[in-house]
Amino acid sequence: MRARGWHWVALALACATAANSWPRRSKAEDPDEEWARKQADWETRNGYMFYTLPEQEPPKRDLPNYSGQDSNPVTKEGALWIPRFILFPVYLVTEGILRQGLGGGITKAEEKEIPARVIDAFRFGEKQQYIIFPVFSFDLGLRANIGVVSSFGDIPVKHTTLSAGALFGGIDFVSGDIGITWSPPGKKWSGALSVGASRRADGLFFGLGSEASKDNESRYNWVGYDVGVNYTVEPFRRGSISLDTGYRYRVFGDDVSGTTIPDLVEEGNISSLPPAYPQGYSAWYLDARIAYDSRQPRPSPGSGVRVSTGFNLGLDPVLGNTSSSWIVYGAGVRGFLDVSGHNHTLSLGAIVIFSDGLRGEVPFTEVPAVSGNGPMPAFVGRVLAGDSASVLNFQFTWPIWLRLDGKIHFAVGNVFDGHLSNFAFEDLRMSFGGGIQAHGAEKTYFEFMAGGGTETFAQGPSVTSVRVLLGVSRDY
Amino acid sequence: MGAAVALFLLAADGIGCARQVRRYSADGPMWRDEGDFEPFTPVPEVYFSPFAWDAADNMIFRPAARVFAVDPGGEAVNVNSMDEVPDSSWFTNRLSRQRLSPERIARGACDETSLDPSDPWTITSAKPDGANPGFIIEDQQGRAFLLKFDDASQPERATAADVIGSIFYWAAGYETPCNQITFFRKDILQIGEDATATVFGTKVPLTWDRLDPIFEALTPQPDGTWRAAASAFLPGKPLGPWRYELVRDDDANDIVPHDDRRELRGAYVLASWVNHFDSREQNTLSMWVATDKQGRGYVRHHYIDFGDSFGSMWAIRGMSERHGHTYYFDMPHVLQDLVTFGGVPRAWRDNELGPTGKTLGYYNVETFEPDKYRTGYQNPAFIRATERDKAWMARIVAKLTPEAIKAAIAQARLSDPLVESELTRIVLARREKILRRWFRNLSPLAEPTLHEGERGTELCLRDLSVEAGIVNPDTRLYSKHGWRHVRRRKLREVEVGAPRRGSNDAVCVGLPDIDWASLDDPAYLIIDVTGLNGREDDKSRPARVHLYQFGEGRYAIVGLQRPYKLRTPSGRDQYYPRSLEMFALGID
Repeated sequence: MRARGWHWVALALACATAANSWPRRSKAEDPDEEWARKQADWETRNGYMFYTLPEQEPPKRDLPNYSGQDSNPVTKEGALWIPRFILFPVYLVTEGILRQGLGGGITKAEEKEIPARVIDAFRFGEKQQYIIFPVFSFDLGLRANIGVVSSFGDIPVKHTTLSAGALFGGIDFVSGDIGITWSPPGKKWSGALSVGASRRADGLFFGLGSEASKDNESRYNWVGYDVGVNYTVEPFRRGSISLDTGYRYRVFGDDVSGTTIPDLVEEGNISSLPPAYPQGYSAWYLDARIAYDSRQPRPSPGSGVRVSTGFNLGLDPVLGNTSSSWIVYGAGVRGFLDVSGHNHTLSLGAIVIFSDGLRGEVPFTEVPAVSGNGPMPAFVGRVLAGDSASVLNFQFTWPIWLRLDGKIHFAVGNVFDGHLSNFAFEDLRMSFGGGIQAHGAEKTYFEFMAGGGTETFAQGPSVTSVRVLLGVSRDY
Repeated sequence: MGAAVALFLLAADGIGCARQVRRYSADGPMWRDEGDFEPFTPVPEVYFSPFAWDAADNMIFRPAARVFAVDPGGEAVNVNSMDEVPDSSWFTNRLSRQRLSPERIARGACDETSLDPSDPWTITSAKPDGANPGFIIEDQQGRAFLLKFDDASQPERATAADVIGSIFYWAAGYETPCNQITFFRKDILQIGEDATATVFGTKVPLTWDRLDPIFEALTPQPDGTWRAAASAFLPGKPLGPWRYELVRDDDANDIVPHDDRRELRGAYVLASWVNHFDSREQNTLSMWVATDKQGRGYVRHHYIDFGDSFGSMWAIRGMSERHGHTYYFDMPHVLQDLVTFGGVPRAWRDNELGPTGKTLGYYNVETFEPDKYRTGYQNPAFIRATERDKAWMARIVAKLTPEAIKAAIAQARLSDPLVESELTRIVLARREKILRRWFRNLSPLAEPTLHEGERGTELCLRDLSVEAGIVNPDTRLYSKHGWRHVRRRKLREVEVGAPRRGSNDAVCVGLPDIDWASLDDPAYLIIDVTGLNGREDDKSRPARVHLYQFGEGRYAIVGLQRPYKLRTPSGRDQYYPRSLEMFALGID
């Protein structure tokens, strides 16, 4: 009730604002009857009127008879008053509240140079090289969050960039990182050092490999720290070689609402707790990736082939009941066909990923996942995670605006036990969806996607996963 | 909802079928809106034009609000009986009613004395940073000029655009500053005592240290001089930009909503011609012109900045190709491309740099479509412009002859002959496209005059299609038709003399002689003359001239209409059968 009351107060204020601030169309002082009628016709043609005539303003002259014709033109207004009457409330909002109210406020703010000061607060420095901007994310099934990312050029030394970011999604969802990137001008390589810490309570677990199922949806919380260095070289077109090494720490818990992982075990839905849960793990890791990509950077046509392979080696000498080590490795190939020469690009790709415990088992958050930002994006987070994975993915992307693409995908694949040992066609799932996505930015980009994911063909490929993502995504 | 609105419009349009013949006053057309120059007080307040809101409003909020306003628009208000615009504080009939020499056109708004680069210039203020650095100088006569420079990536383009654009707009009838190219030595510059520089929005005392970065970004001429566009300050007191919609409350003379002014609507055609995509209110200026010592005066309206014309390139990748084809953010285009998977052909995808490379950017002929042109964001007056408004401006463009255009381009003093020839070629070719498009649905016959000939009094009209060379005069055919107004709603056909070629490629027809017509009881005549592109042409429309006959050989032209539809003046019948009698000029 209170909200409704405020609504009407706001509406009344907006009407009053509109009535007082709306620059009028003309109004004659004492026109003769004929021209008053002509003017009224003409004013009606030109939309709704709000009149006030402040005394200090000079009186308007009469509208002259420009055409010199001896009778009024036949009005074509006809029955337009009916849709106008029906649409008046919407018009009042769009014109009175948004244009006059919001517009008036922004105009005043601009006059006082407030936006410039706000922008200066987010983008500053002698060369405007320091940038701070907000990010947000809504990903159905995960915790919505807001945050900031920042970039400080030539800090601490020339050609380096200090970057920092933070996300907040509640008292149990805090994440931050800081890093330095070194990109010498004119060189095709860059180096980076980064440190990050996270505390999140929206971990999703659906089981691993063949046990992964919508029926096993459960949650966990986790705390993690990361420190790492990166070296990337881009020797050819969009191809790259990337080396990462560093230290990673994770510990998990069941301090969440709803079904927890131990509940799944208790109910017999999964056979045992996943590796490293809840005690966590720490790992020195080495990640190496190499990709050959024959495509030219945009806006050149997008046809070409991308072949990539890589591995991630983890060594956990400290935590857990037993120290462990593991390796995750895989390869992918994708062909792109730009059907128009203007980046209307069809692509078909296949990817296989394996993981092996060199000593002990692979922690459940380190095993390959194809959901989230992977090739089956209609599944949220690490819903599809297992010891091995195989996916066939079809995509079509097309430009819809500057640096904004439309995108649809259809993928068939799943995660399996080690080395695809239980691979079967009837155990594959489908992922499909579409949306829009910014291109051009490397790590932070706007994205909207809606999609659906199915159960396996054996279970009947009904849609059991729906993902809606809206936000400024950030690839860590 | 759209269908419902369309139904209402259709129903409303049906009412129009019962129109009657509307006679024009015998007083003749209004060629000057005297009331628009009427002095008044107090001086209007300075209008602050919001940079960001203007863009957001015209890209998002205003278009949405206008949909719900159910305001389909109509014809422009300030149109006289000759389908022309009277002189006002906005517009002066220059080419509309007279022929100007190429030399006069090329001078534009400048008087005989140009800026003298041999005298010392005093810098009074500067804006050394930002995308458009420049400074203001005073010459020895105390005249103030804004000096603007070129971007190194597009040598001479911006300064040329400012000069040529101002000439074209001035010749068309608008008020502009005198923009001219000047070459000066740096040693004639001296910094004024109170000179200031605006650095990131803050004013600081002007020093040479502040000015040097401007020159460091420029390339000097081989003789050591510097090229700039000098824009003369306008006389009067600046009142800020004028808006493309509504009226000013504090201007007593401002009674026609700006988006219903034909001259502002018709400027769409000029903007499309030179690709002045930055046609927004910030590039306009109102000036208070004092007329007496009591503080009275009136407001005069100017276009002031054309530097974006002729292919301005932006640093944002992918944007320059789009200029003129889509708004900066064009929701209909984005949605169309999204739902059609990018299947709609887009002109900007095929845009390529021409032989001048980046200098003229994507200013070209190939992808230019006169009726699909779009500015950076919606311009309220352009959005409301009708076929008539655009055809009106096209008639003015037709009167800007190739000789005048070349003379105007010569004022840009381009050093590269390739750039000059290519610019000339594109300007002329885009002009031809404009004329072909906007002469398609409405008659290009204009400026009716009366002449005494062997056949008695003749009505002659300029055929701008022939004059502009877009139709072959040898294959041009004409038809004629005439009526006499008997009484309200009633017309009687009268015989009109066969068309013949008059002077300057005009077409002339003999007027009927009503024997009883007198000063006390004049006859009212309506004469249709149609220019046809071959015998199968059923698209061309007539020029419909309204006249009074006051006695033998005594006529007065009082009106000119250009009907969209092939109807009699009473609007009742379709006429002009396919077997219509057609005349080649000179053959009776």
